[in-house]
Amino acid sequence: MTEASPDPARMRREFQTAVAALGFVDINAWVGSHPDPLRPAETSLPALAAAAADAGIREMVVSHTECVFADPCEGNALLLDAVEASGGAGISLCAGICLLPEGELPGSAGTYLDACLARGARLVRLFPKSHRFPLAEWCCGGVLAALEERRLPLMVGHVETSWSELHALCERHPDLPVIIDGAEQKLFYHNRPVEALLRAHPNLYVESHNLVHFLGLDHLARRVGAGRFLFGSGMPQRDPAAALACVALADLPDADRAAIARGNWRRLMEEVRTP
Amino acid sequence: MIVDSHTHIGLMASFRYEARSVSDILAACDRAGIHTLLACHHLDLVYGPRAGEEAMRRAYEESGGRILAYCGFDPRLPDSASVGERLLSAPPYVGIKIHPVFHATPAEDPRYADAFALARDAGVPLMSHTWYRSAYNPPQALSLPERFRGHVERFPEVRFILGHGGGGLDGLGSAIEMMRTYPNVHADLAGDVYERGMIRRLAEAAGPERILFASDIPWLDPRAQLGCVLASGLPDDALRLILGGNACRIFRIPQGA
Repeated sequence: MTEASPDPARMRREFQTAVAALGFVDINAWVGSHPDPLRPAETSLPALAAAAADAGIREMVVSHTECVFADPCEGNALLLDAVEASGGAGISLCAGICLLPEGELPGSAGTYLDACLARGARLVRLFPKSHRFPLAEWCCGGVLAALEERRLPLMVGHVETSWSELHALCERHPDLPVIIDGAEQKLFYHNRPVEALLRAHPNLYVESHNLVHFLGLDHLARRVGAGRFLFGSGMPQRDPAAALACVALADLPDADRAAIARGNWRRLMEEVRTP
Repeated sequence: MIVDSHTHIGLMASFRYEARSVSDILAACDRAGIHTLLACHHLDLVYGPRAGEEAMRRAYEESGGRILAYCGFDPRLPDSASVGERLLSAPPYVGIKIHPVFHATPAEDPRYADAFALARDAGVPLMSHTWYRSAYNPPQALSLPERFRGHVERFPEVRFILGHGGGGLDGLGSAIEMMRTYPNVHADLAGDVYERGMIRRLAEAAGPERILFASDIPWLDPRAQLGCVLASGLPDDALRLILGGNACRIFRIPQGA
């Protein structure tokens, strides 16, 4: 262990090289305004994409803040328009749309999903707590069945549901990839139920931007398999360097780090059934 | 050398720790290039400074002097100052840690004056947990940076460190205001305070010579904050200060070759 003065230029170069080698796909980024003026926000998708490219991210799944705070369907429309217009953004983009229980969507869940899939949607988010509905069959069954039929990954924040609700969801829909988004509160405070659920359900994944517990990603990936983690940055609120460093510098085999950075997401995308 | 100025030794029961020993921590720090750690034992926070003493001294020995110690100060314990005085007379103790949230005592409580007086008399820095008003964790309001104002004004010679820099963007304004007003106030980067642009904003507002690299090992992973520091866009001279130069100066740690 050296006591010499740190060489930031060398450290930065090594970090950038490690990131570039992994070809990161970011599945957790946001465009649109945030109601809290203190929060960093990015209303321009090209600007968000440029910042991601600068950080070393190659592909990005973007969602729209309007889906959370205003009108989910209008937010989806804004997002899909922006993604379609994003040619030349420097990185490849696709959409993470937001759904509500059936009845509020234009048409059935299936027809709405197929229309969104045709326009570049590759991830679906639900916000049960913020949008005030239970993540239960009697309320969301139609939407969940439509997602499972298409193998379209569903991302849910851990603060938006409960561990028991997630357990029931994974059990009832074994062909639906379910991804835990660790945003807003420390995910490692809940690392006991997270690990138990990962062991119980092969269709459960964890998005990585809040997997910042000391050695957490390294050790958890060794215990449950690196195939269960998907890189996310949390941009624009989060500095992408934090999440990039935890994967790029993880004490894991190269193949495991590559799987978390991009491979696991690619595998999920190969299984999506588009119309 | 890189100094992590805000870490802990020992476990707490409320979640699973992946690093359970000093050797686990040192091995990970070696991989990340971190040489020296400033640690407060969890037992100090839970039961007072005597509780963590033996384990802290073992960590110092086992690490070959790389793990230095904060002694915890609990304002509710009448002997905190006298125990601290004894501990701070020799290595590994080089600083004092206070935690208004953990000890359910607001930062402006007059009993914390004893900790500032101890820091002044021992010539060591005093670091406190600081945070912002949290909707889901209301006791964090006990540790708002501005609530230390009275102590900081009364003890201008004490090198005071805002642990977690106020807890992220929501506490950053208060931390910056304190740092701009009082030249003896510093901030560390410990915790999951990874908001985009935060380090650059803090450095531009208060100066890079007032910022300390820190992680909160074994809660949080130093690689995350290291990535943010390296990607901050600050000049290399500023990064050298943040990564270790400032800690060596403030804690009077001899720098290696």
